[in-house]
Amino acid sequence: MSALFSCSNLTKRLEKRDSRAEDKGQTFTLKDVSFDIEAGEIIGLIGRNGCGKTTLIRTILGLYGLNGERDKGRLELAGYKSRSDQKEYRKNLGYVMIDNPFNNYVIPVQIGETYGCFYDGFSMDGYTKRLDEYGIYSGRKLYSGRKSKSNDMEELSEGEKLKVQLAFALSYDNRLMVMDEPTGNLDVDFREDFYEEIRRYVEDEQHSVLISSHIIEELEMIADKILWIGRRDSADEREGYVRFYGTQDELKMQYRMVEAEQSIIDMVDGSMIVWREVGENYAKALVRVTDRPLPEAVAKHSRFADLKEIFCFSEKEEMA
Amino acid sequence: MTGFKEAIREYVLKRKYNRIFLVFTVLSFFVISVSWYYYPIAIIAYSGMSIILIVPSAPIEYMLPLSEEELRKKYINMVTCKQIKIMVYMAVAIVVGCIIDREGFGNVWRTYPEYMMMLTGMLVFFAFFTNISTMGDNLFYKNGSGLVSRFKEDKVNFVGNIGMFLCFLSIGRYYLHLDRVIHGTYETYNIDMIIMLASGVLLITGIVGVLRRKTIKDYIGVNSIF
Repeated sequence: MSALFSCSNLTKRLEKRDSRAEDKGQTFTLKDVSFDIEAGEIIGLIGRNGCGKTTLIRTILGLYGLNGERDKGRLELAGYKSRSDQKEYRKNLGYVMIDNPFNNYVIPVQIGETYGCFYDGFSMDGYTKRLDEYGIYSGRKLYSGRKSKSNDMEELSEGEKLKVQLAFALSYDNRLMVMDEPTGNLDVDFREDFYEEIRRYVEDEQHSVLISSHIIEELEMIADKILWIGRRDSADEREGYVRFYGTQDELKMQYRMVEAEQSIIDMVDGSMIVWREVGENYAKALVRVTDRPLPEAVAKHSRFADLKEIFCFSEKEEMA
Repeated sequence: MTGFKEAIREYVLKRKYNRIFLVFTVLSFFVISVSWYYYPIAIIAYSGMSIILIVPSAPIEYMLPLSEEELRKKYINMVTCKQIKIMVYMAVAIVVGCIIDREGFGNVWRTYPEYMMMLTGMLVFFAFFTNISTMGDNLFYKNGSGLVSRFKEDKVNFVGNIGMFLCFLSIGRYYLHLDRVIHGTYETYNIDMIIMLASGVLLITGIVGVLRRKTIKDYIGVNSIF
């Protein structure tokens, strides 16, 4: 059975003069990204700042085109290609972004009134009902006589803007929900409801979610697979690449956390050590075990590393 | 998304040309005041300005599920709408300017109250419903919500439109009697200068405000086009 979403050999280059490049002095290239998402899956997208997570998401959503000389790749969703079937491709996308994509000078209900028509199956009632459930005033509908006080999007908090986006995205028929750091600004009590919405969205195994987040613990709870974008820096170019794509178990099988005396850790081949910390009376190390296993004397002091440890210590060592 | 980018490039000038048109627009204020023969130049300049101002202001505009053809039609409609508005403003303002010039500023309402009310209503209509902004798309798409007030969401553009109208009004006043500005009586000089200064300030405010909105780096779509 073919995947719901397919990204094949995607390369997207942002030139130096382009103000979107996070460091205007560098050219950034998201290089050769390939991954598939099956229906019903939740994919956690991780990577350090500047690695290209947002570039990938914006390219999938169509905010960035693949028009440059060095841009290439294929994006396909539910059988529709992003270039030749642009309209149908985009209709099947839902999105929640940390940067509000809607106009700031409108009230939430006007977003539904203006943009809902572009999406199949959009329900204005469903949208306003969700807004009310999320604690956002649904707003004054100008021509129906229904009145309630509402603020412009500009006056809402960042968390409230995310809730408006979520309400909009869940109000029409889409197959893939793409989320760029949606939970950072959400209040704690809504965060659980947010993840519950995601679980409900995928439980029929017809929909999928791609969610990027810096809150690794939350991704560890919810994600079926992890897409880890790595970053390589050179003098005038920065590159993002797929460092890992697979299930959490597959990733965790590649690493061990060793906590023991320094003499024990010294038994490990230096090339296997990803990160090490030595204190007065202790030592810790993150060890990669894909090539060969740990010595037995070390193994009994080791455990599986969790996702946060793998990500944080790997990235920390690279940045050092 | 190749077609989208090509559509924008086809109907929206690149930024360096936007700057050229802006300079040309400012210069046309001066040349048209010399002689009404330069009126066609002003129309071309302001049409160019209308193209400058159609760049969408929110990323959602670049993510909508539209085919290439629909995108092209959308932006053609926006440009046409803006051009019609500018031409109506110019025509009305020049006519009003001539009436004021002939009747005197204080007499125009007394002499032609019904015409002034009609013209004012037309201008308000165009100001509210043909501003270039995201909600302007409602005019061209059947979404069942009807027209949405844009005053609140587009304050800067609205201010700019008032300034634009007053500028044209000034032009209507001046092009027949430029000598009044230079050598006019004290009373006429004050009224003309107040109108000119006020309109200039409002227009510049509107232009700068709109241009700043369109080029704010947050609105990534702008930079991804060019």
